[in-house]
Amino acid sequence: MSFSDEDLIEACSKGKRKAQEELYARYSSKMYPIALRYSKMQQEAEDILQEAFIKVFKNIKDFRKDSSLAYWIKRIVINTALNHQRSKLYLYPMVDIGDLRNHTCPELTLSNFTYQELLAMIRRLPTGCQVIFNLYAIEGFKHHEIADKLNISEGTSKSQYARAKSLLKEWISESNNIDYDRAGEF
Amino acid sequence: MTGRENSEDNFEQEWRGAFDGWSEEAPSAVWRDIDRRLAYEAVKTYKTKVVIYQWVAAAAILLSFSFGIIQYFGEQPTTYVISAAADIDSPNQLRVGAIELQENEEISNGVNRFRRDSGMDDSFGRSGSTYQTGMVAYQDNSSIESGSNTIDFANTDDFEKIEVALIDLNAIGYSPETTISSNHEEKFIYFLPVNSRGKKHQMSDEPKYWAGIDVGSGSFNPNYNTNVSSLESLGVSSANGFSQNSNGLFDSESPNLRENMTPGETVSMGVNFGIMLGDRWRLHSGVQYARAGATTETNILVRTSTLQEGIPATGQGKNIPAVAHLVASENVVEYDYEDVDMSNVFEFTSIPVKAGYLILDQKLSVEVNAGVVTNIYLGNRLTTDNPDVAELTIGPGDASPYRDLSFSGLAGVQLGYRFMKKIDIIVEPNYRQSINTLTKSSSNFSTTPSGFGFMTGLRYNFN
Repeated sequence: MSFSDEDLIEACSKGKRKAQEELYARYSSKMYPIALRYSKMQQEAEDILQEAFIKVFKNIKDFRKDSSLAYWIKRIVINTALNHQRSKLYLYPMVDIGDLRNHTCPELTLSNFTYQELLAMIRRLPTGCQVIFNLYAIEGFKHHEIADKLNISEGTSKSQYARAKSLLKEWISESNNIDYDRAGEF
Repeated sequence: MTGRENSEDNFEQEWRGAFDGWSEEAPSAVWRDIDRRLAYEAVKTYKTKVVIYQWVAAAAILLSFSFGIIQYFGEQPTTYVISAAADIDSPNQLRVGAIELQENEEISNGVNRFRRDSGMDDSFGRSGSTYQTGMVAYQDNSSIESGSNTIDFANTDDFEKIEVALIDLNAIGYSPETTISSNHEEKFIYFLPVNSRGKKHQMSDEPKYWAGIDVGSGSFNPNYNTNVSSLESLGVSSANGFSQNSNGLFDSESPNLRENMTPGETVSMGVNFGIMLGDRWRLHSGVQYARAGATTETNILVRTSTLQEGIPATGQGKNIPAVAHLVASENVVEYDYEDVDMSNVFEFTSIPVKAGYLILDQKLSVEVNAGVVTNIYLGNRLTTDNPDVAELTIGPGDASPYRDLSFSGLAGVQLGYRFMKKIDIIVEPNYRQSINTLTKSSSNFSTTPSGFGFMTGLRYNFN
């Protein structure tokens, strides 16, 4: 028997364990990749996912339904992930990185990479760059929104993003060259 | 998540596309952990009630144990007996049997063990040919000669009495070792004691003073109110470092401070004393040590550069110099939005003064009472099992948000049972309501505790 989101929300609000399990089964596979993108290790991603769903179940009675349930859960996952990262961000405070030059890679494409390879690149970024890259490039926040959210300057957000972009292009370019080199051996 | 501001190339679109719609199953251990935590949260809801029941059960066990000990050791020395005969033709004119026992001598007649205590003489209670149990009287009267005596039991109210069994010796086929009278041998019946409990027959010896010990348990509702809704109202400074501010995009998880204090339980122990003020009125007082527990909840931990643990953002820490120093702007690193539940224990010395009115004054007594309790604040301690959260201890004094003295009203019904000559067992359900707030007027939160309680104890009557 399949429940609608509304039914699940109502049942979860009453603390029905079966409904909570059903909601988790329905949305966890979409949220887990988000947690992976904001973490360095799998265990950290699992902790983020667990913490986020606990918050979902605690606060679902306050869900106002002005957005989709999936969108609401996604925001909680991202927020939880940011909480996990903040101590690291403090240890490595983000500063403006001036005079960064974009790598010129006019025909850059990601179609040659698997999801796992792309995920590995993101997780390889410095923590600050990783967070801002996720927020800007994938979640679609603007720099001033990121600045407000993380209590940093807009310039810091831009420079950190530029740094992330530069590193990613560099790694993509290197990977493409390796592939080309290997292809030439045959 | 409102769109792009820089579309210089398709870099971002490539990445978004690569991750769009991607899904991956999380390890099953994640749900197991979630399930366990949800179960724990559900159980925690009932924890308070369970704790109260545990204390009540513990008090009942303690009382039962005490009762048993007192009964066992208290009854042993009074195992004496009166063995004699009565003429059933004249039930109110009973013959005192000749006690063959010397002082402290013991014998066994095959039915029971008997002993004659020092200074005890024997006489016998009202009887009839069909009585199975009855009361007999005794008195310390050295002028009564051993052998026989006759007492008119219509005038024996001043004597202490013991309960005896009336046994038809013919019915049980018992032949006494001592023949008391030969005149009415066929008609004689014999008394044997079944209960050595002494009883004062007249109300004239009702206790005037008493003292005792008591233990109590009950609910503790702090009735918490706060005007704190933000870190600024708590006096916590903004962080200079990297932190998440309160204008987050996640309205479902508002970072506004959510602080609360939820009900718990209270336990107490102490000594009490009292005095009769008339035939029906009593005055009670005493001294008690009380621990009242609650749960303080907050959703923000303040991280500082000077303390490894996070400091829970609560109104209770405001104005305390040590806390204020820690959360000063130059020390704050960040705010951690994390739900934290802390055990919040208050300690008091309580002095109740109450008046009671006796509704029933028999072996079982019933009294309604009411009075005032003076609570002397000893301290408050916020603790948690989470080693990442700093603990907070607040003693009395100027910096404390709590008054050194507070007052509560108390009303209850006290039930007493006289189970020994001078000792009563007491149980009392009651209700307590604070008259003034536990907190100072300068505090940014207030508590006016109330709760139902159950007190039980033992009381010794001096006269």
